[in-house]
Amino acid sequence: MSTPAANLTDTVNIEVDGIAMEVPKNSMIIEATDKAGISIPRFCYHSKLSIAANCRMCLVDVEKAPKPMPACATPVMDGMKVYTQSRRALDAQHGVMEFLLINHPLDCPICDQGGECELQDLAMGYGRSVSRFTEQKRVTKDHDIGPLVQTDLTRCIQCTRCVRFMDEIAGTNELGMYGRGDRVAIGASLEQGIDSELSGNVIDLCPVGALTNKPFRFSARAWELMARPSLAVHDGVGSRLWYHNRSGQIMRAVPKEFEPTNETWLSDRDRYSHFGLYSAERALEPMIKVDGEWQQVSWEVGIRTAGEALRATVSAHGGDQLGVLMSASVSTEEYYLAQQLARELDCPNIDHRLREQDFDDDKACQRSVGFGTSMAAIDEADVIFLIGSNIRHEAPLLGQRVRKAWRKGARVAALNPMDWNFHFDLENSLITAPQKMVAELAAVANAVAALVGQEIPAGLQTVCKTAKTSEIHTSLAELLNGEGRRMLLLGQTALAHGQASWLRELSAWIATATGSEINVVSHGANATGAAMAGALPAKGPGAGEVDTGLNARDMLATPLQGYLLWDVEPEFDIANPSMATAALASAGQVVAVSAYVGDGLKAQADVILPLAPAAESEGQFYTLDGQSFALEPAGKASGQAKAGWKILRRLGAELELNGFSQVTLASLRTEMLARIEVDPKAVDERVDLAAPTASNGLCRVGEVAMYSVDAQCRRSEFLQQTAQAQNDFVGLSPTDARDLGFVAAQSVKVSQGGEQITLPVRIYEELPPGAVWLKTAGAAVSALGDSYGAISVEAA
Amino acid sequence: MGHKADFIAARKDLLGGDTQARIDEWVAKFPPENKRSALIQALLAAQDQNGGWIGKDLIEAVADYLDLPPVWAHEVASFYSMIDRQPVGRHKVNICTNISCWLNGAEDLVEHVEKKLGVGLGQTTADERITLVVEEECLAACCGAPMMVVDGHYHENLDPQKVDEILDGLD
Repeated sequence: MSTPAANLTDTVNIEVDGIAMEVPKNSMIIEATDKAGISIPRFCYHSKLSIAANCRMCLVDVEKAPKPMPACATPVMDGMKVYTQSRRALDAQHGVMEFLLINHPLDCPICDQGGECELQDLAMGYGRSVSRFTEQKRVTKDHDIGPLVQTDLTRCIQCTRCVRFMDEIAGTNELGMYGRGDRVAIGASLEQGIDSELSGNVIDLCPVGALTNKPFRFSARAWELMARPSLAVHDGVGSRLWYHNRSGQIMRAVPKEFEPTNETWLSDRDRYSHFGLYSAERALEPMIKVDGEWQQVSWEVGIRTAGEALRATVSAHGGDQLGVLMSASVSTEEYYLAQQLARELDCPNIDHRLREQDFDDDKACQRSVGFGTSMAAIDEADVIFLIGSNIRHEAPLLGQRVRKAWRKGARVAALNPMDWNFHFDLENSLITAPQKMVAELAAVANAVAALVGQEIPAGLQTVCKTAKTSEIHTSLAELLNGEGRRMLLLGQTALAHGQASWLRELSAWIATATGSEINVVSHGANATGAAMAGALPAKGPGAGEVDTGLNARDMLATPLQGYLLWDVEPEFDIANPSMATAALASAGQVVAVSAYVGDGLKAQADVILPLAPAAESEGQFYTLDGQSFALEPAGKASGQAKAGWKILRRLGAELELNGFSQVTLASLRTEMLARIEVDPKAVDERVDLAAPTASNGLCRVGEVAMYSVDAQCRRSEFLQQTAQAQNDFVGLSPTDARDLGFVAAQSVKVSQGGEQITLPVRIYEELPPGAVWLKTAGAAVSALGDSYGAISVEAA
Repeated sequence: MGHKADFIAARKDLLGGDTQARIDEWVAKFPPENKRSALIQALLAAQDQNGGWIGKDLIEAVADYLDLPPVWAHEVASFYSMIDRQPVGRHKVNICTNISCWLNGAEDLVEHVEKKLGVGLGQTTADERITLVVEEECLAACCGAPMMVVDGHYHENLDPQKVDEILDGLD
């Protein structure tokens, strides 16, 4: 907090429309008036973007100034008197509006922005009812900038908000102002359009109908829509949004301003995923398999059949022959009731970490969950060390925060299996194939140990003593041990890595030794809630003690007799799809609760119960940094689909288990929160990890394709049309490509665990030797093995 | 700070050694973090290398060479009238028609030249000898109106005979 004395110099006194106010020095008039609720019309000004002052709509009358001044670009001065409603201010604003409308087509009846258009709104207040301009208007040719954003550039008023957004926030510099004078037009240099994972935000920023939502346009008018608050459930950021529905059907998504999570933005994944809600593959009715044929049944029959299947497995083979696999993106109530169901059935096997494969540090797992800081704290970091993270794709809005910190001067370092194309520069980057990442991190740990004069714990020595420390590790250690707020971000590549436990333990030690903070970017939208509710094999609700069960990988590595799949498509959502498919095929009973019925579930499951996805459902979600959000339905559930907690409650009742007597969500939540929202015990338990097995040869970099993270995204046809979703290729480093004798675009055979597929090769300078870039969760790779595991590539 | 745009990688090889040297000279005149300031001169250098005009590939070659987002180069190239983005003739003739020249008979001069060359403003003669440039703004030689610029050289106090002489002297 600043002292009163500092306040005297940090603020100035101004008067707006006769109202005295004290405002920060060097702020602009518009910031003061916005805070005071005095409305000044504007198009180009946006509080999150740089000041352009090119629309001139915010002209106000400043005492002693010889002409009207733009409020967005005029700094306040002590004693300044501003009049926003004087004759001179209003005349100026009317004049500007007349000029803005000269080349605007005024085609509101056929414009998708009509009814929610800033230009239309302000033209009502400041425009003339009849235009004095009788000459010919300018017409601009449109560009196709991809499947998500529609351009109608004739309507553009050249505010450049979209250009500034792409330059400053998205960091991809993909849009620009081409030409000059009255022929100026927004353009993109890339012929196939714009690629940014945040591109949809230009739609919200555009004050006119020049950039509109391409999949949504012409499907509804703004005044027909009901806005319902909801939550984006494709990453753990917990972006707040509004779903606009018409008669219960969700038509579009727009961001809801909320600084601690999404600020004012929304990633394209969160904006366009809802188009997957009405896919033809939605599970609409309970279904059971009778003699190999799927039959639609009532809920009563569906629940009874599912209950019998679970009961049969448990009574014939014991509770430990049942495995409960849940996605990381369902509500906390579902995790809570599912673990209750499993544990009441004497089944200790429950896990939500389906994309992970190494759980050796499970005893200390509390350390590896969630954020140590708030997400907004990333903005304030001075040093950020990304460990196994393509942050832009894992959580686009966290990537945006890292970029924001970098723009403010933060120094960013990375240990990654690929030199991903970030929108910030790396000061220090260790790019190495996955099989060498642990050794590299151990080398950093060695450098830290030398720098701070601490011993590396004995449990970590096996790897550290052989790790070679060089200058780059030392300079990274110095960065981490240096001044300011330092932060380690452990990403999804680290979590999915074959030696994830080593990466976690080493990071945790480095963070402690250097006094850095550590944040883990878990998979899914509610990994935090899953961990709190105890959807884990080694921890119960509130991290309570439980009988230790099998983790997600062990449940599949040795097939069990029965499985409950919760919001899981085994061929896409599990670290090793071929292992999952084999295990499910050999199981006696597979009960699936899912919002979608894909080919995998049809082949593997015996019962499918239709789950209402988050947008149609209710439940509590926790962001990566632990902020809770109580979700409510934003649209009508399709078909017979039901909220997950209701399905579990009926299953529990059917099986006559304890703990399923809750009648309302409120009573369930009260009971649940009392058990899960407890302060986690400090964990100082170190586990001794087995030395990782050294592997030569190629290792797969199987990051989850950004638009394939869950069943709903995979079915959003518009996301799937983007360039980002075209992932059917195998990437090799130039060295490996040369050694193997491959040229770009050549078809090659890729094999893992006996399964083989053929894909074209692409050669990437960004890949280190030994790494094979082949994303997971796509149809082409659904037969293959570990996303981060040995892989072989040979000529087709 | 610009964004790495993969699709323009290696395009800088389109720039010849002389062009690169000329760009380096301009880059050196600005602070190292302000390479963007050298864009106009870099684009002009690339245009000279290419016979007076510069296409998409060369514009992006300049962006690649300066390590800038391609959009920034396109913006500059499309803004300035001295950068031509369509093929041009061997000589660029730009007759000023702004107010001083206009009052002194520029319109007649344009008509004369169009008739003489058989092409309109913005067009190139069939033998690719001369491009008649569309004038964007006053060319800043009002004291010698009417005037025209031929390949960067100013010719003032013109009349049809003088114009003929100058144009006939072009190869």
